[in-house]
Amino acid sequence: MEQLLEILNGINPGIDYETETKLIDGGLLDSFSILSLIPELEDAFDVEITPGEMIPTNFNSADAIWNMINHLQED
Amino acid sequence: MTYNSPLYLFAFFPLVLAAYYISPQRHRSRVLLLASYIFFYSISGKLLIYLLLSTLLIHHTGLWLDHCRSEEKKELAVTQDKKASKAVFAKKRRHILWFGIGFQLGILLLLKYSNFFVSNLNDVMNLFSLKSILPATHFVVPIGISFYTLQAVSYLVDVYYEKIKPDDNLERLALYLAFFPTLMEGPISRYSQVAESLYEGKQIQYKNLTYGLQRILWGLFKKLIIADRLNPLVESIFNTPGNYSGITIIIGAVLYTFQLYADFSGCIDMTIGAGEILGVTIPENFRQPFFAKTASEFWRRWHITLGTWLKDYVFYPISLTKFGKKLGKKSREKFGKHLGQVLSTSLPLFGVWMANGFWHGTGWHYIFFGMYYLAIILFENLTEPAVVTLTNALHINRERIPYRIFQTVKLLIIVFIGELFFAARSLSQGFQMFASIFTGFNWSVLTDGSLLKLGVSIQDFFAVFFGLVTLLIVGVIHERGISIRDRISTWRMPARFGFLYAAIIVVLILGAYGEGYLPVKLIYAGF
Amino acid sequence: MKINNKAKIVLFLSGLFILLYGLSYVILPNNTMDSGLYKKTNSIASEPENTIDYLVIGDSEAVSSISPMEIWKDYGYTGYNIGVPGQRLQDTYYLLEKVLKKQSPKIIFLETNAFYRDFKYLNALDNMVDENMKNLFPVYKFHSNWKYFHLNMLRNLKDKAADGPIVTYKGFKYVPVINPYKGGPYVKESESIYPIGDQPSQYINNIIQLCKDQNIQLILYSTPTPKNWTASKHNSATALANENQLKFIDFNIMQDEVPFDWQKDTRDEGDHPNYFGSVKISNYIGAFLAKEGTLTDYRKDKKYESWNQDLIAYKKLTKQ
Repeated sequence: MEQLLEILNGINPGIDYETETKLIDGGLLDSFSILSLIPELEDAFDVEITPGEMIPTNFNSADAIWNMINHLQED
Repeated sequence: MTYNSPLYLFAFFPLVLAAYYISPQRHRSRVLLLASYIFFYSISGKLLIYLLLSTLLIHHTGLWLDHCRSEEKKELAVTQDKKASKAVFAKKRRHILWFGIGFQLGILLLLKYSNFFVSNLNDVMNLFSLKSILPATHFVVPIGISFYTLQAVSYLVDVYYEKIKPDDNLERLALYLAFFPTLMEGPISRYSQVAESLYEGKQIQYKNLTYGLQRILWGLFKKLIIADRLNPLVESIFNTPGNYSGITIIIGAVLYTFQLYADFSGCIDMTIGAGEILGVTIPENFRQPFFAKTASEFWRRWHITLGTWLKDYVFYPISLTKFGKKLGKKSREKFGKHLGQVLSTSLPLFGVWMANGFWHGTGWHYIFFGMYYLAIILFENLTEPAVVTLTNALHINRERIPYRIFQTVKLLIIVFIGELFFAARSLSQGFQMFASIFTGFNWSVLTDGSLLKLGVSIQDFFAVFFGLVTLLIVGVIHERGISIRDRISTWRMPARFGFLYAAIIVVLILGAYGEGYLPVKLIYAGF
Repeated sequence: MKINNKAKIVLFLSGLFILLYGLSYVILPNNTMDSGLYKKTNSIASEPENTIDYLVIGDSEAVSSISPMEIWKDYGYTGYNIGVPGQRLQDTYYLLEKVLKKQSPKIIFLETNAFYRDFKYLNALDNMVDENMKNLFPVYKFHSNWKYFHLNMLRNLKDKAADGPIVTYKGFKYVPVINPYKGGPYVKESESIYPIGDQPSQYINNIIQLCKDQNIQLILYSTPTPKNWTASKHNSATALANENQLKFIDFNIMQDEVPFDWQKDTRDEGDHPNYFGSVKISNYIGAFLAKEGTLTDYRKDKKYESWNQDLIAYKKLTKQ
């Protein structure tokens, strides 16, 4: 989780990722930021993110992203 | 039978509502499905077969994908080499998906685009002074196939990625694909958004009924008072552009843009209103597009469901291919964060705008339209930090009104030019018209009365002006997040009735329909 | 839905009905409760008895192709165009029957386009709903009168006799809009014959019989229209004309005598002629009538002075 927050701050600083739950719906992360985020996540956590994961609920908060990563690691 | 025909408004739709209302809940979805097929048949006749067959096929393909997945799970529980068997199944599922998508897109390409390829191929062969041998065929295209195909593809892909469970209920899926209010012009909804509530057969609620009818009335207002009244003028200019130049062309492009917006969003209002009555929330397709600050924001407010479709099924899939990811990483390493990001999105964005242009039809001007927006959006992305630095250095507040006016004017010019090419009958015609703005510029057309010779009288202009001002006021109110219908519902009954009566009478009197007017087709139903 | 809400709906709808019904009477000038079909009879009804020497009947191709005023201008023959857009032949027949009670024309021109009109159930249904709404709420039909509201009031003050442009045009539809046809040559020869449906066929025969009974010369003609014309339709009309010993003028194959400029002479990409195309057709028809020699030139006749008045108005309206 620490690592995830670090990555997120690297992509788009100035957002309180620990409490924010509307990263996508609130327009804080646009699709371009998401696209820069994905390769970083893939490298850091050794997962493969497919277009199927690209739904707002997977990216709305740091927790949601964390859950998605865990879910992908289990697969 | 279109949404603005007397038959639909005064007979078909009320009868469907009545049948829906009196039917027991479990049969209501059947009423809607039957009505949808009657509606489809009334426009496209025997091509209904195509709809039925492809519905069956989509249904089957969805179940097949799911079946394959459960086979995989069974296999994974027993096998040793999990990785190998995963790969085998992944491949199989991919093939099934491509089979399903290929069929839908194949038919779309054949019916809508074969002529384009054939005629371009013939042109190329003529270049090499060969005789054109391929015959150009005009197929009859089923109504709404462009919208329908996108919904079908979204369903299959969502099932493939397990965003949704495939529907084992054929009727529910069939209704999602064929629901008559969305048949002609969309919006392109997702299975997960509407299928469940469509099938449910909810009781018609008083509030839903009144809200829905008000929304339909608002749609008719836009369509009849603005779009249809402007039609003769727009038709004159774009059918014989050689006769006009300068300001007349500018007026043509501007009014075409407003006509298109009023026509398309008006039709969508009627669709969403019909959905509301039935308790179904159909996704919005427009959000005050002319209040956008940038071209990319414009496209997040204009034809929204096409934009999100392209994002989900073109932009992300291309960016997330191995090549796309590698490109993103390399360009970020090489060109730094900002430039790298812009460059890495250029490939998927190219895909998006190619698809957008091509989806609208077979003409090079549509492709140009797509590439035009691609160039503008890439430019916007590229210069964004520079604009921030520059405005800060000049102490310009980007949220203040002068800067917002500058942004709006800039955006409107971008949009008007785009629509000029979009509405042109061909790319060369578009360029000719664009050039003639400058070569034939002459202020006198504004005063010599030649504008009134385009089939639109001074009274018509007043009616359109009234319509556009109303549109602007409503836009400002919506932009502030106020629901007009919520406000109206808090009024006392006489005020409420009075307002609605006035609205009905305005549409009835100022609408351009009936004797002296040719019925105007819904513009987007042609795409 | 609560009873309360149902009552509200009923209340709202009754209010709306009363309002629309009232509105139909209050704000609309010259409210003549005529229905769509017989609108033309009502306008021709204002012509004095037995003053019309030839009639043009048919659908929109008829209305937009022959302008009686053009013929009056050059030849002094009195005619009326009673074509109705989208009209089916049975309605043409009934309309003609009604008109012939008051007028005794010597020649009738029947446009052939309606011979081949498919009976599209849906269009008929759409029309029916539309007509019913118009009858129920005249405001729905006459709503566009707001444009002329001011104008009409002024005119009524000055001159009581004026009755709007419809009389001036003698039934012809004046449309000066140009939307070129770009499809290239469309006339091809063919052996095939387009079968005329049972229903149209029956009413063609009725019209032929009616003309015979009243000693009227019936002439078939086809308006130039790349959108609708085919060689097989031409063949079947020719066969029909021969069978009944009628003259048949097909402007589609008369490019030498009546040269149509498809860049300028059509209002909707080759479906209908516009005003400029209609002038060419009318000129030919005028000359044709002169050659036939059965009609009289009334231009100097005092009894027909109103026609000369109308011509002045017509010239103004058509910017001649």
